[in-house]
Amino acid sequence: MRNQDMMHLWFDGNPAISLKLRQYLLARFGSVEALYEMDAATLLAISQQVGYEEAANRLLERRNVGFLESQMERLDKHRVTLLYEEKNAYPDKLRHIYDSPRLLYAVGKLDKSLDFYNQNLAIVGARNADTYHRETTRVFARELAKNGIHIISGLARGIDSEAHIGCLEGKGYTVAVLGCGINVTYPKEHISLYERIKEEGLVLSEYGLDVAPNPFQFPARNRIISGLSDGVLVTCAKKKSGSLITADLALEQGKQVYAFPGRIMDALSEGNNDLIKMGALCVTKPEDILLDLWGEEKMDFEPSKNTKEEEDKKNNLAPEEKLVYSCLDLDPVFVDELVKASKLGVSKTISVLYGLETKGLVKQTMRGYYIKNI
Amino acid sequence: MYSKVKSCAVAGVDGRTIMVEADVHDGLPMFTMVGYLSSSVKEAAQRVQTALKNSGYHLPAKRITVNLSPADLKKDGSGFDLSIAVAVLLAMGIVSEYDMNHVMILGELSLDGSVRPIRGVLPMVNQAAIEGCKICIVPKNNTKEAALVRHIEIIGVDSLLECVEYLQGIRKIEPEKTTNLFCEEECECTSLDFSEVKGQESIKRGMEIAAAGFHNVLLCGPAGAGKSMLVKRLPGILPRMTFEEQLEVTKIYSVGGKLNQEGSLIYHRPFRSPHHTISEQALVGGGRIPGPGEVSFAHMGVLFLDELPEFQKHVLEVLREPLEERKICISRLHASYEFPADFMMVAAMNPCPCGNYPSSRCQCTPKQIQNYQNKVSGPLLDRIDIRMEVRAVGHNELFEERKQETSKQIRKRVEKARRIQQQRFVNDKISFNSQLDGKQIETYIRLDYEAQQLLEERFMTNHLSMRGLHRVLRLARTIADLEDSEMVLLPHLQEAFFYRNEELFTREVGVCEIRI
Repeated sequence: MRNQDMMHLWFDGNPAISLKLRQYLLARFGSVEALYEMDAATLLAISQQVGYEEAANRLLERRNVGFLESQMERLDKHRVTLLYEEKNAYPDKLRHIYDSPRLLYAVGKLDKSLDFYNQNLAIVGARNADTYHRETTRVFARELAKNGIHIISGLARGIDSEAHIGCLEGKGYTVAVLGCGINVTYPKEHISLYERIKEEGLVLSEYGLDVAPNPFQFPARNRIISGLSDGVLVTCAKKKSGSLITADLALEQGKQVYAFPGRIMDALSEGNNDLIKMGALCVTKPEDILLDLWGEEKMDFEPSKNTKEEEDKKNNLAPEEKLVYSCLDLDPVFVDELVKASKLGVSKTISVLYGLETKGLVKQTMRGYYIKNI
Repeated sequence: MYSKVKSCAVAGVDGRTIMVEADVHDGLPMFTMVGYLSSSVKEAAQRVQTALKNSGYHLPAKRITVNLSPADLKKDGSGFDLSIAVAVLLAMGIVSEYDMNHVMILGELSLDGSVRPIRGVLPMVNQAAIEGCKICIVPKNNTKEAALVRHIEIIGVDSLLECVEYLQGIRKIEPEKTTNLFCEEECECTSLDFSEVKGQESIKRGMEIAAAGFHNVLLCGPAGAGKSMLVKRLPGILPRMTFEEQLEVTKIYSVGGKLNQEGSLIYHRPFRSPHHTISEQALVGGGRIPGPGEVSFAHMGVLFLDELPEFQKHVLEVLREPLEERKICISRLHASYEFPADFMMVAAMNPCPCGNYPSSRCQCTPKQIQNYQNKVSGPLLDRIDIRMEVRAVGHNELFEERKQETSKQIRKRVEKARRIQQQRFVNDKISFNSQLDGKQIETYIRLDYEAQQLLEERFMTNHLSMRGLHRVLRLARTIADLEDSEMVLLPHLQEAFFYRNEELFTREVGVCEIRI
C-alpha cells in the first residue's frame, strides 16, 4: 500500500508535469507501476522518440526512495491521506468527470456517504458578499445540513466560508476543496475554520504540500467542487464571476444548478439572476432544494425544531422590544437609525437591543450595526 | 560689602528659589558672575552694568562678584537681571534700610533701565508665597498674572529706578489687587454647541459619558462623517475646573510662555489638537532645558489626536506612560523635570485606507483594513475606554428640523455626575471614574443581581478579559453616576458593553470576520 502511495506521489505529485502529459504518458506506458519499474535508459529512449525527454528527466530526478520517503513522512505528519483511482476511498463521483483528478490530498474524516446520490450540495458565491447574502447563505447551509445534506465549498472569503460555517452549525459534514496546497490556509484569517473542518469534515486538494495559491489553480478546483456535488447553489455572483464557472461545469457534468433570486440592478446578484433566466432553479427556501434533489415521494423535510419556539419568542416580546425588532432587517442598521425610528432614546434602545441579543433574535455585525438573527 | 536678594527659577512647572549674592570689595575693577550659569544668564552682566549706568548709578572702580546659589542648579533665562542689579546696589550701600528677606525680585532689564516681562511668573510667585515672602516685585506687564497668587503683595515696576526708589521708600507703589479669583459664573467658552450637530445620537451620548468620567475616547468613521466636528464640541460639556485646577493649568501655560497679555487665569479646560507630524519632544515636552509639551498643555483638558494611524508609531508610544501616570518625567543631563499631564485623550481615525468602510464603496481588502487598524498599537488601545463608530449622517437627518440638546443641558448632567464622583473619591487621590484601579473597582462598584449575571455570562463565554472587565465596569460606574444610581444596574452595564473599546467580532468558530 505504502509502496503504491509512493509511486503515485512520485508520478502524480510532481508539480512540473501537467495532468495532460501524465494522461498521455499513461496511455503510452500502461500504468504508474510500469513507469516506476522501467529502467532509466528505456524510459529516456522512448520519451526521446516522442519529444517528452524533459518530462522523463524530471520523473527520473525524483525516482529516489529516500526523497519519496521523506515526502511521505511529511504527509504523515500532516495526517494527509493520498487518494487515487485505485483506492476505495476515492470519491466515486469524481471518477466520472472530465479531467478527473488523478491524485487528491485529503485531511479529515473520509466518509463514504460522500458517494451517495442526491446528498451533496455545492454552495458558491462572491467573496465580497454583503451581510444579507452571507446571512441567507449561512442559514440555508445550516438547515440543509440538519437534513443530512453535505455542503461542499472552497474555503474562500465571503459566501464559501459562510457555507462551511452554516454546515458546521447544523452539525453536518462539510468538504472544503482548496485551490492551494493541502497544508496552506488561504486566506489566512480562515485558519481556525480550516482546523475545524479538518476535525469535523474533510479538506481536499489537488495540490501537494506548500503549493502557493496561484490564480490559475482556482478555476481548476471548481471542477472538483461541482464534480463532488449533485447540485450547485449560486447565492450571489457578479456578472463575471468564478461562481458562474462552477455553475457551467456543473451543467457539463449533468448536475442541477440552483440560484438565489437577487434584486434587480444589484451588481452582486446579476450573475445568479442571469442563471435563473437561463433556466436554473430559483430557490427561496431550503426545502426547494431538498424537493428537487429527492423528489416529492422521498421528501421528508424536517424543519428546525425550534421554529415554533422562535415564533413564541417573537410573539412574547415586550412592546419596546417589538418596536425595535420591527425596525431591523437583514441589512445592517446603524443604532442611530433605531434610536430615531423607535423614539426610545439612546440608553433605552441599547438596553433593548442587548435584551434582544441575549434572546438570540438580533446580532451585531459590526460595532453599532445590527441585523435580525435568522 | 555683601548683600543677598531672592529670585526664582523654574524647574518643570515649579519655581525654585535662587539666592542672588553680590559683593563689592577692593581690587582690580571687574564684574564677575559665578554659579553654574547658562550663557543667557552670563550676558546679564553686560545688561545690568549698562542699565545701572543709564539709570544714573555709577559703578565704583572696584571688584564686583555676583553668585547665584544653589550652585548645582543650572540657571537659564533672563529673569535674574533685576535681582542682580538690586543686589549690586545693596552691596554698594545705595539701598540699605530695606529687609530683603521677605522680598522676591523678578524681571529682565533692558539697556535703558526699563523692566521687561518674563515667562513663568505664576509658578515663581507661587514659590515666593510658599517660601513666606511678603512682597514680590515683578515686571509691570506680568502683574496681572502674578496677582493670581493669594497672600502676597505684588509690586509691578516699569523700570529699575522705580524699583530702587520703592525699596528706598521714596516712591509708593500700590500693590496689585488680587484679581477676580474664581469666576463662579460660567462663561460660555466656545461658540460651538452640540445642538448644531444633527443626528449622531449615540455619539453624543458617548461623549457625555466620556466627559462625565473623563474616559479616553476613540472615534472611528469614514472621512466627512463629522468626527472632528463632534470632538471640537467636547470641551463645551466638560465639567468646570476648580480653582486649584485652573491655577495648575495656568502655571503650565505660564512656563510655556503661552499666557495671554491680560495674564488672567485659564478658566476653560484646554483643548489641544496637534498635527500628526508632531515629534516626540513636542508631544511630551523636551528641549535642552525641558519645557512642557502638548500632553502638559492639555492637562485637565482634551488632547485630540486626529488621524491617529498617521502619527508616527514611536510618537504614539510615548503617550503610554503619561496616560498611566498622569504626569511625564523628562530626564536631561542637568536634571530631571516633572510636568503634569492629566489629560483626556480623544483620538479619531478612519476605519480603512480609503476611509469608506463599512459602506460598499470601500474597495480595501480585509488585509489592508487589518493592517491599517493595526497601526495603532494594542497597549495604547488598552488605555482607551470608549470606542465609537461614527457614520455619516444621511440627507434626511441633515435637513430635519428636530430639537437638539444644547451643550448646556448636557453639561448640567455631566456636572452632577462629577459632583457624585468628587464625593465618592474624597479620601482617594483620584477624581474621576476612569482613574479607578482594580482594587478601587472592588470597593466602589457594586452591581445588582441582574447585572452580575450578565457579567458572569460574558465571562463564561470568553467575551471578556480581565482588563476588558475593568474597562466595562469603570464605564458602567460613570453611566450609573449620570443616572444618579448608587448601584450599577443592568441597563447601565449593557450600555457600557455597547461603548467599550473591544474587538467583538470573533465568531463561535473563531473566524475573524472583518467585513460585513
